[in-house]
This record gives sequence, structure tokens and C-alpha cells, in this order.
Amino acid sequence: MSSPLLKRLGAGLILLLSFHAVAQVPGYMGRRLTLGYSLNCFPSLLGPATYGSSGLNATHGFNLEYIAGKKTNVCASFQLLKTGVYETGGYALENGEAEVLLQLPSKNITAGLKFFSKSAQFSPIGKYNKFELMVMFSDLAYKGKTLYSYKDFALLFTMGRQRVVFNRLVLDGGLQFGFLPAGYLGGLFNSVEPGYEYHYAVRERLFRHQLFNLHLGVSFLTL
Amino acid sequence: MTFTISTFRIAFALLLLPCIAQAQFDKNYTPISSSGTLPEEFIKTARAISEEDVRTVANESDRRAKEQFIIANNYFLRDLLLGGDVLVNDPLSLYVNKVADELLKNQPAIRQKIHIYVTKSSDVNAYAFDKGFIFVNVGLLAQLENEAQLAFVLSHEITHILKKHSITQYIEEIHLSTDNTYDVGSEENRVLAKYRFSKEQESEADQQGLVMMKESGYSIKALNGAFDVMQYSYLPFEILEFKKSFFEDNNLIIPDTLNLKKTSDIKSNDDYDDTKSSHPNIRKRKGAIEPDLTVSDESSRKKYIVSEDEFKKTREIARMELCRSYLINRDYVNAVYAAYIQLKKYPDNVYLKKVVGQALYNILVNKSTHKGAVETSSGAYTFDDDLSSNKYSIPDYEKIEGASQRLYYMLDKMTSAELNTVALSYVFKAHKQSPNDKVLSNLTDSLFAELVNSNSLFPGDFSKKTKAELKAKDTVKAQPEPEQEESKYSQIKKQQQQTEVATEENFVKYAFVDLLKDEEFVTRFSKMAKGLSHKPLADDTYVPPSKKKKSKKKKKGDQPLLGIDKVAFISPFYMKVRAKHGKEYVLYYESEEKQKFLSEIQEKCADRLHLQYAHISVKDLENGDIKRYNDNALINEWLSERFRHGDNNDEIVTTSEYTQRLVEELGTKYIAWTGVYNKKGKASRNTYFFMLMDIETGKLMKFETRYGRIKDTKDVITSLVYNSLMHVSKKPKS
Repeated sequence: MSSPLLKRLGAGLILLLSFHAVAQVPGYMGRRLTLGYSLNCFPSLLGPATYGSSGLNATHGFNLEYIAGKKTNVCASFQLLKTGVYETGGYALENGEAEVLLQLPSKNITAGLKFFSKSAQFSPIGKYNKFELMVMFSDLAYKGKTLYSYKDFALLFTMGRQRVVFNRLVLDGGLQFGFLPAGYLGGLFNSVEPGYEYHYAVRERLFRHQLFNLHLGVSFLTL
Repeated sequence: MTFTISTFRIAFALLLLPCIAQAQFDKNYTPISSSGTLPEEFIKTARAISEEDVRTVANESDRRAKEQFIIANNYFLRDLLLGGDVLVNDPLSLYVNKVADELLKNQPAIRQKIHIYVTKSSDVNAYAFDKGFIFVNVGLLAQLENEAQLAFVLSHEITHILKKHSITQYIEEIHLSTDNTYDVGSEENRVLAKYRFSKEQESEADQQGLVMMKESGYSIKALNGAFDVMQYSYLPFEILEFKKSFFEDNNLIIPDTLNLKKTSDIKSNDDYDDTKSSHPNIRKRKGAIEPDLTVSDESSRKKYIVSEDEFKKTREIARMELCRSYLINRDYVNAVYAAYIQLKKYPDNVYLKKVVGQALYNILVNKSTHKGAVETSSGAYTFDDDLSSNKYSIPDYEKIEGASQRLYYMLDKMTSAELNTVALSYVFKAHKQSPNDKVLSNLTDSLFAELVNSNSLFPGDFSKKTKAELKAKDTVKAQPEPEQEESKYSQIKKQQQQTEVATEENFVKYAFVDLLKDEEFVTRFSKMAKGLSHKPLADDTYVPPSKKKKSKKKKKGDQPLLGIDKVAFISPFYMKVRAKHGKEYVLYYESEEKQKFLSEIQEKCADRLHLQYAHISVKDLENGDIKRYNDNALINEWLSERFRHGDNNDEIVTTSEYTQRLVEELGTKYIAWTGVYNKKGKASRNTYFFMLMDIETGKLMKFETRYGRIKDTKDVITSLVYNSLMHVSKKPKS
């Protein structure tokens, strides 16, 4: 992590862990670390889905969760998504078309906390609310060639429910809401960057992509 | 008539029999337990039995209701049979069955259907299940006057079975609850109708029971007393004036102020209001059968057919059992009184003396106020606050009738120090009689500890000289030498002593005059006083009490780690209930399945935590498993006694005396009990509990309950059990 922001994020995560990692956490049968895969998806109603094809807005996530308290998990994930933005300016004119679709793949890193509800007895079982901060590293590309890179951040909130089956497998389902701050906050990173003129459209597209998703996940209890 | 040698032998043996029975209780008594092989009804699962029984009502009216009743009844019966109170092949059950054999001599088909057991309950009662089971409590056996009365009780219960009264009443109650004629503001009428129906059934059982008695050879005249037994069942089994001399010796003289001058008379109310009672009142019951009590062949009938000696022996065993039963039920004054009656017959019986000592001790610890830290082993729960919620208090003596009222009065009026002194004197003398008895020895130490700790009484507080000796000394020193000046303080002390000697005040001070001559008594008392040192002693062995360490503020829900290597699991509890249309239904079959599943989860979690475990359960019993059955009974008895103490760790769990063997066999003194109560209505509600107890000391090491609006899925229950066992097995950081 080279950026000072990421260093700060890392430090924050460690602090959170130290606050929440109390003794006597049962985990599930003593297992406290989960590794897994999650899919956040929803029909693409506003704007293009993967590179313009209709269908689902989908984000694939590889998650790491640690049961830090009786009702608290500390979570981190690496996510991948692919979407696109329409451009009606220079690239469209170059091609003699009214609009062209620029590709917008994004690699995201999230960190957050998952709080299990009162009705749940112990993490990782039962209903939960999850709060995450997501840093998005997105590239704007045209015909496979990266034009500009952007960094954005988003706040995510997930309401879900988890179960454990076969004493190993954690099944997870829920709804996720994402929010990309606009205005000054949204432009916190690289306010004077190359391709600044596309950033608003990129952020708008990412906002729509993250706004509302169904969340499905499966993970393994490891340690 | 010629007497042969064998006739003499028989006569001699018959004469000797009561003496043998007497000798059995002279020195000690061992509580009875089950023996032999277990009957089929203990082995079959309630589900298997229910499935068979349900088929029998398949084509009958009210099929659904009958099925529900049969299933609920079978599960209740199973719990009763395996709960530990029921005795199998013991002397009491064998005798009661002999009486039933005699009663149904001419009806072998009926006899075959009837199964009779004695239960270790102090209630003066007997009850029956339609399925053919009769349970007779030891409380009833202790009160009966003769065998004919027992036969009448049995014939009454047999009638209930033959007439299928339980299921008929259940169906009637359902009909009453749906009967439209009661619609307008008539809940009260419904209830009254229910009681009316029940009373009719009881009257029928009395009438038919009498018919059965007439068909047997038992005396009908003897039945007059049977209703008296019921009417006065709240009184002890014998009326014997309580004398304070029971606790006294030459120097321990309990003052008359603690002796109630006149005890209240026993009321004779047999015509009480029975409108809301399941049974008619005694007057009505007596009146209803009185005209039929005259039979022409009374002279040929007998009060005893099986054996008078066996009846008396059975009643004595029941009375001995009853003493313990009172202790287990926390009915301490009754325990002392019952033992007092028996000690008149068997004055050297150690078992009875232990009952008295243990009951006095448990009354005492409830009189003493324990404030501050209660000494606990590491990790045990400490209850520093007021324990009033689980405090035992002596019942109001004004409400007690008869001779035992004097004992209630005395124990109520005694201060903690007075009771402590009396109890210690009694127990130490018993200990001297049986020096090898560990219970009496430990009890002596506990009473010394109470004396020093709670009542701040030290060896120096007790006089070594009798009042007479002190009086004589005073007379000699009555004229002090003129030049010798007495200090103000010695004058005060002298004045106090003169008052004490002249009156009965401060009897405690002179209570140990004899005992202080006993080397062991002095050594143990001094050792305890030095060890606990709440008060500076004269010598330099005084250790100032260490300052209480400020404990770190615990996080909410943070429970101590106990670092225990091995536990014994007892059969878990699981109940699934469905709430529907304002009514709740127990899902018996599912509950039984889930109970097995909870047991498996316990084992898995323990394995994962490397926690060793043993089982005390009646799961999959076989005919020869009588030892397992007795072990389970013993543990249940222990638990039932311990639960009555609540979170009060100070009272002695008297059953611990008998669980020591189990501790050695199991390799652990910790027993764990887990349970789940799941109710499914609009939402699923789950209540989980876990308990860990030390069966040697009676300490509640861990008690955890968790409630959640969540389904009782395997993962939920697993995580709950794992968490509990984790706290049990993990070692605390040093």
C-alpha cells in the first residue's frame, strides 16, 4: 500500500481490531477466520452493465473475515467489477458515431465491520448489519487501451443473514446499499488529474452500479 | 396339640422378626435404592409406546384429543419413571405389590395390567395413570395405620384405572371448553363443572374401591381411619411432644423463653369448601361410604393379610426415607421433628443424627447474614450481595398445629449464635459417637466456621466453668480485701457475670463447659479461630485480614474461564412447543429427537475443545442397567435438592454424601446440564441454558441462559453449546 490514504486505512483497521478483539470469543466451534466468495448483483436498470451488454450489474468479491467479538466480525475484501460509460465527445467524433462505450473495469478494496443483531447468539450466525468503506481503483479504457485511471471511495451498508452448514460452510445472503459521495468529497482524490472531465461520468456510473445490490456469499471457516 | 421342634423354631423366628427390624435401624440406616432388573416400561421409548397406544383409539370418537392425551401422558410417565423418584424391586414396592396381589387375588387379568411403584416423595398421596400405573409416595406409607388402609388406597387407584378416569376427564374438559351453553360470562361455571366432574369420579373410585375391598379378605372396619389419614396428612406421622431437653446437657440449658408454653390444638375441619377442589371434602367422602362399611363377615376379615411385621417394617423404612425427603425438599424443621420422633425409637442412629445436624446447619446459614465476599474456589461464581431471594425462612409457628409447634417456635426465636451453639454441641456429640463419619466431621468444622465467621464467637467467649462453680467463687470472694481496689471494668464484668449466673440469660456462654474439656473440641475450635481470624487473638498468630483486591471491571457478558479438564454430562433437556390460536402444544416426538441431537452436539463441541467427558444418562437403558438407573436417580435427587437452594451456595446439599462414589467412578466432580426451550409462534423464540455444578461442594460454577428470536437450527445450538463449554475448559490466564 503505497498511498498515504491506504496506510491510514490499514492503521484504522488494526485499531478497530484491537478494540473489538476481546478474549473468550467462541467463533464457530472455535473457528474464527473465514475465506470466501461473494457476488453482489442486480439487474442493470440505469446505464450499461458489463461493457454495455444488458443483464446484471455484478461485483465479484473475495472476502476475508475474522470473528473479533461475540457479535462482531472484521471484514476485508477484494472485489472486481466491470461496467462502462457512454461518451459522446472526442472518441465518438473520432469514430463518427453519436456515442461510444468506454469500458470501466474496477478493482476495489473494502474494509469494514459486521455487527450481528441481538437475536443472533454468536457471530457468524444470524442477522447482521455490515458497514464498509470501499476504495475503488477504476480504469477508463477504449478498445482495450487504458485511457485514464481513477480512485474513488464508497460507503457500503449490507443487511444480511448468515448460517453455517456442515460445521464449515458459511452461507450468506442479504441486500447491499452503496453510496459514492459527490461534490467535494467525491473528488477528494486526484482533483487535478488527467481525464478529469470524465471523472464525473465515471463516478456517476459507479454510483449507480453500487446503489443497490443483492448480496450472496459462501465462505469456509478455516482457523 | 403337640408342639414339634420346628413349630418352636417358627414361633421363635416370628418373635425374633420385630427385633431384627428394630436392629436394622439401631445404629444406622442406608437409603433404599432400586435393584434387580428393570421392567419393560423403563426401557421402551415414549414414542414407541405412544405409537402403539395411538392405534388403539384410531376408530374412536374424539380421536384427535385422545391421541394428544395419550402422547402427553406417555411422555409424562416416561419422565416420571426415569426421573429417579421411582423405586424398583425395593422392599417398599415389593410389599405394596404383595398387598395388590392379595387384593386382586381373584382377578388375575386385572392384576397383570397393574404396575405399582413407590416414589420417594414426601407428599401424602397416591396416583394412577390410565395405562395401569399406580404410584404410592413414601409420605403416604409413613402415615398409614394398617395394611387394610393401604389396600383401600390401592383399590381406589385401581378403580381410576379400570374406569379410565384420566382420559375421560380430559375429554370432558375439552367438551366443556367448546360447549356453547356456557357462552355468556360463564368461565366460572365451566371451571365449576370441571371440578364437579372430577369429584364425581373420586366418589365413584371410593365406592368401587370399597366393592373391591369387600371382595377381598381385608377388614372393612379398618377403613374408618383411612380418611383420617387424608384429613391429617399435613401433620407429622406421629404426635410426640417436643422437649427442649433433646438438645440440652448438664450445662447447655435452653431458657424457658425459647420454649413455647402451650402448643395450639389440632383443628378438625373435615367440612371445608370443596367447590374448587378435585376431590370431595373428607366429610362427604366419609359420609358417602359410611353406610356401606358394615359387613356381616367383619369378624373373619383381617387388618393384615400379607404380614403385620412387614407392614410395620415398610412403614419404618418409609419414615426413615421421609426424614431425608424433608431435607431434600428444604423442609428443615419437619426433618428435625421427624428425626426426633425416630430417635426416640433408635437413639443411637447416626443417620437420624445427621439429618438433625444438617437441617440445623441449613437453617443456621439462612439466619446468619453473609455480607462481603463469599469464599469461592477460583472461577466459581461469587454471590456477594444479599441472598434474600433464595433465603430459607422458618414457617410461621403460629400456623403450625400440634406438638411440632414447639420446635418451630424454638428454632424461629433462637438467634444465629444460639442456634449455632446448640447445633455444634449436638453435632459434635454425634461425631464423638461416630468419629469415622466424614459428614459429621465436616459438619462440625462448618459449624465452627460459622461460629467464628458469622457469629464472631471465639473460644474465649465460652466459659470453662459451670454456673455453680462461678457462683461458689463469687461467694468466696464476696468480701474483697479492703486495701485491694477493683477497676471500673472488672466491676462491670463481675456484675454482668453475676446477672448471667443468676438468670438464664446468655446460655450460650455456658453451653460448652463440658465440651471445652474435650481435647479434640478445643483443638478444632482454636484452629478454626486462628485460621479465620476475624478478630485479633491473644497470641501472635493473628493475621490481619488482607485488603480486598479491587477487581477489574468485567465487560458485560464476560464470563470466567474455569479450566476444567473433565465434566459429566447428564441427559439434556429439549422442549419444542408450537403456539397456535392462543394455545401451546408440545411437540413430543420432535423434542425427543432434538434431545438426542443436543447430546451429540455436546460431545462434538467437547471433542473439539479437548474437554473430557462422561455420561450419566438413562438413554437406551437395558434390563440389566440398574446401576445406571440408580446413578441417574442419585444425580437427579442431588439436582432437585440443589435447585431448591437457588443461588445460595452456603447450604449443604445433603445428597452429596451419597454422590462421592459417583465422583470417583466418573473421574470428575463437575456435572453439566444443557437445555433448550424452543417456542414457535409467529416468530421462533429460543431459550438456552447451561449449568455446571460441583457435586462435592454444591457450588454452582456456571449458570448461563440465552434468549433469542431465532430458529433452533443446528448451527445456532452448536455455537451456544461451544461457547458454554469453551468457558468450562479454557484455563484462565494466570
